[in-house]
Amino acid sequence: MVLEIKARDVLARTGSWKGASGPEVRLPLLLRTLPSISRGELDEGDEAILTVTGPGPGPDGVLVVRDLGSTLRPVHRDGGDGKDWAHLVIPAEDPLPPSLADDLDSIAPTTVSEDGLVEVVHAAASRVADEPPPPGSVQWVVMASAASLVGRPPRFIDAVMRTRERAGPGRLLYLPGVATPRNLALLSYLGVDVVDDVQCHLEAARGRRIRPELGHVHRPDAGTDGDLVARNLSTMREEVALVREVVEHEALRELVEVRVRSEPWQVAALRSVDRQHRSRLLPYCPVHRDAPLFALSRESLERIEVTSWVETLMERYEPPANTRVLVLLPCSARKPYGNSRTHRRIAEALSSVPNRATVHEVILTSPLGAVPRELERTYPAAHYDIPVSGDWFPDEVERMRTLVEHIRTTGTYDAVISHMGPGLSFLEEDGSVSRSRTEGEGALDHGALDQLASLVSQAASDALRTSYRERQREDLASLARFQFGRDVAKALLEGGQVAGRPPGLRLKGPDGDQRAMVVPARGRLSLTLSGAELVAAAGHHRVWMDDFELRGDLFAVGVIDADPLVRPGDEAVVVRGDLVMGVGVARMGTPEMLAANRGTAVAMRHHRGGGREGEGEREGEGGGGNS
Amino acid sequence: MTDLEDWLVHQRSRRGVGKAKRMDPSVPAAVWHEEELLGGEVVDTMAAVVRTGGCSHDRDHGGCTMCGYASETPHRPPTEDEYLSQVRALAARRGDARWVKLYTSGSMLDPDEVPPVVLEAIVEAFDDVDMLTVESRAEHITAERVRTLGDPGRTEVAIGLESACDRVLDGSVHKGMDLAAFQRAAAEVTGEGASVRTYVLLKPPFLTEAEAIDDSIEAIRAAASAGSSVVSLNPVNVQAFTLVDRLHHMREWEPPWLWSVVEVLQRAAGSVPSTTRIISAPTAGGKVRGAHNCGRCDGDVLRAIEFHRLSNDLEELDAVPDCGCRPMWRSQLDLEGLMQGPFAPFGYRRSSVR
Ligand code: SF4
Repeated sequence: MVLEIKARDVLARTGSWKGASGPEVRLPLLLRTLPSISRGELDEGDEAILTVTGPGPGPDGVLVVRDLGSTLRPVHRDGGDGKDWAHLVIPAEDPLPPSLADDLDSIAPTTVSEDGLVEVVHAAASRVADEPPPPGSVQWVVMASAASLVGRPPRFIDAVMRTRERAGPGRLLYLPGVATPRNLALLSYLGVDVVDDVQCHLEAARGRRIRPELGHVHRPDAGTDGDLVARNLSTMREEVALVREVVEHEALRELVEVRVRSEPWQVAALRSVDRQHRSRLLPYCPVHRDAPLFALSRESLERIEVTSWVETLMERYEPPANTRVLVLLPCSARKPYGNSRTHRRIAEALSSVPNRATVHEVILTSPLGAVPRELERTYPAAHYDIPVSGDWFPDEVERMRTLVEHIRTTGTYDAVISHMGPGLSFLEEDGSVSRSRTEGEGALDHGALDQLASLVSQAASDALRTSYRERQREDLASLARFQFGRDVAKALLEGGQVAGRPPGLRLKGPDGDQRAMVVPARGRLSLTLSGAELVAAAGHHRVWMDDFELRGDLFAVGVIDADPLVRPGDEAVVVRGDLVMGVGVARMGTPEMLAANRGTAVAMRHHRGGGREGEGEREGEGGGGNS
Repeated sequence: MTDLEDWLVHQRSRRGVGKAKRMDPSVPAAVWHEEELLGGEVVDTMAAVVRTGGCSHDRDHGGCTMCGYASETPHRPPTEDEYLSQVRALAARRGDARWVKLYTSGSMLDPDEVPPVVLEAIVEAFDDVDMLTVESRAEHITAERVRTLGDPGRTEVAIGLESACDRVLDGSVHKGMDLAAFQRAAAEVTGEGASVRTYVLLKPPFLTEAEAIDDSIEAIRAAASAGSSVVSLNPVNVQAFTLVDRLHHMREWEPPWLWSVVEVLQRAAGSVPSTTRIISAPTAGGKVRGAHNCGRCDGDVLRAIEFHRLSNDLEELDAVPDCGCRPMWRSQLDLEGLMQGPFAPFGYRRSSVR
């Protein structure tokens, strides 16, 4: 049995699956429902059939899944038990409607097929949580009552997320009877691997053409719509192909935010995912992507990549030490901001400021809230794109306010200077904040820039002198805190010195051995072996390998344990026993490394002893996507 | 551990038994006249629900999942005098009825529910009708009690079989009875020369529409082979305070389609001897809480079912005009079983816009 993941996007994945028998199929997989194998026709490209009764065998090269229904189904006279013609059999479970799922606890909440390959879960029963995990033989987990939970968003999402978690990364999750071209993106975002065409048929039967956009406007158009089933199916297939494509480009969330707008329940469901299930998404959410992040809707404010930025700042951020003047700046469309015309002009204006190294620039923006200058290359600060209209929604302003407050209280500023435009009352009404722009003035107006330079010069001239090198070390420390947390950053920086020219700074130990370097393209630190030793000693980012000789990358099958919350794209220190064996970039999060039997867990950069060490080897690589 | 029975018993303790306080134990719960087919002739029939102390199965085991009779049971059993005043009221309303059908919220042959003296008074009051039907659960039926009903040639005992599948009887209907118990009871009745009228459900809870159709047909076959002269198909309707009511409210169950009623009547007819009449008179037919179709064809289909009931002529069912909702029903039959749970979208059949 082989599950080969080609691309991941948070919980979504593409790739292929092959069972003990039957052909290999692609994910996400669309099951074609046929009342029996002898009825109906498959179309070009159909990979799998779901059917009630035989007799088989099904067409060559097609996966055949048989559903035995419920235990109350009158025994079917033909098709036998399906063993000889179905590749997978969904077992007959005791029926248990969601509203009774917790009341009738005499009914088992899970049922495994005779051959041990398929488990049906009454996901609406919260007592599923008390069940032992599925037997190791189980390949597919089927969520019963999925269709009737749709339309009750929090319950639906809760059930799907819990079932996804129960299935774990190594099994496929099938949601029967739910999928439409409208909700496929969302289902995939929740980690659903297998769907069917039931809704395509049901909608056709009531004269409806289903399209991915706007669920309620498609009225039957008798006479012009031809074979509705065929048309609905072809739309479904197109959406499956689109979802596969966007997952591979790490743009599923963008598609989800577009598609959920077709139906109110989907928007509610997405909100519930974002707010109630962050901890389930986080271990699967990459810390870095090369793909852009389009923050175009209200939901973008809540997406995990964005909220984890805010949360990381709130938990780990403190400004570079010795900075005394906080300058709040508007964002620019071009990223990183420093490359934009606006920020180059601001930098020019500030170039004459004495004691410049005591000035700390923080960019206020949405949806991230605030981006300290030293983190401007870090994902998603250098990757997001927003509609620039010049005015803010209250929740955007609130996020900026919270972060500014956090930065101010953790810093040691003598002065705060705002170069922001209008609309931020928390700054305008704060007497301790000087404003460099008058009413109606643009950020690049000469008067404003001059005023900014003069206010900053005035404030900075009182501060203790700080050298650029000292400041670079503090900027690197700030990045290290953001990336590894305060404890690890402290250990990593202990006795360290900074070398090189920004943004490609290097961190060296007292003996001149390199510990880490900033990879400008990713705005993140990559560790050397000696840096990795320090991180491991601090008790973070460790991945324990089994007892074997590690050459090349570490595969998931060789992982025996890992520190909690190593996320895809994180630095991962590979440890055998107590010994650091190497360091690289995690390709999977902790839960997936521990559960998966295939795929690269850590793309190695440095191995102990072997090969060249230090700079140069696969430098700056292995951080990005899932390629 | 809570099983279905515990759940039903618990629900029973909560449902509106208190309401029944206002019920007068000296008057019948309901009396109405209808038409029936008797010996090839349509005759006036009086049907009535006698108010009794209630169904033993309901009292002891929480009752059946679709049965709302308990909420019509008074807070205390009627006294003998009250029973006799009900009998007088029934006799007074008989009119020209040549067939009298007496239901209770349970079993006429359960001596704990209906005192034998009362049964005697009933038999005496209607000793001149052409047919007297009384209803009973199987376990209360004995040859001896059947004999107390008088001339077997004009006696019919009505028994609820509901389903011939013991798993459905137990896990869906919660009938507290198996097929063998029904067969025994039917044999006691036919052994005395009286007739058996059997009730069969269409779509008790947890069954899909397609499963329900198959299940009803099986039950009709079993009822026929046990010697029933009439099998009455009861599409499950929503009665207050029942499990079905709750599932319906939660959008996890819907009453069957009228197309399914037609399908069962047609398909079953082909597989039972012509000595067994198969009929249906859907309660709340055409309403959302009873068997219904899309809303446009319900009247036509109900009329056809009624014509068939009074003529025993299958042609009446073939004559139903087709409707755009038939493909929707077909799709549901094909696909519902693959959804691993309650059918969705709820309200599907009344949502078509053609
Ligand atoms: S259906 Fe009959 S047996 Fe079942 S609870 Fe109701 S009255 Fe009693």
